[in-house]
Amino acid sequence: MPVWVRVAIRRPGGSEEVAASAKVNTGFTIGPLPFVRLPRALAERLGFDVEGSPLLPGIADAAGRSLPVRQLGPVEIRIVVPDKETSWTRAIAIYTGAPSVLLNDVLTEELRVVPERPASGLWRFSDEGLEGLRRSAEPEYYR
Amino acid sequence: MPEEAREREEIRFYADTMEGELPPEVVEELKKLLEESRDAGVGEGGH
Repeated sequence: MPVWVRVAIRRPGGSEEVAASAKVNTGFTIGPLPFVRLPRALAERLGFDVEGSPLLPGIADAAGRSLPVRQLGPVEIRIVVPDKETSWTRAIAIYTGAPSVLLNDVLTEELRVVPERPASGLWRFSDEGLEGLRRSAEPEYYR
Repeated sequence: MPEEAREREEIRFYADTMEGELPPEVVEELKKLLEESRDAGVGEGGH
């Protein structure tokens, strides 16, 4: 199982906040910016106009085939764990039609998440040691 | 729907690996968006 973490997401200045499990994927790498992919249900709950959002150019799948990616807009996101206070960081939310929340490489690093044992789903914050690795959250899919 | 188009729909739906280099002007625009959202936001403090 890959690494899944609990996150809270909100729009800057917005009152609506959503909680979800997010998958860490270092193969999701678009330029030098933090991106989070949202499923439609969460995008709409945050008030984004999915169909009216512009397409981002130049994004492809692993085979180099062009992918239609919609740029929703900026969000604030933080990791939610019961034993630690975490900070909000900003990312660009995108929509592809996929049913889960996905964190890209830059955002993962900005959230200070280190996938320590990806096959086992064990991770830690970058300021934590190897003892007491954290277990992944339950995966969530919005179909 | 042709087989190839159907396959593309599947790929669009499930692709988790996404790669790309955005055009410089798009990167700048997104950086600006992030920067502007800092002003709209309620801060970076802990929860």
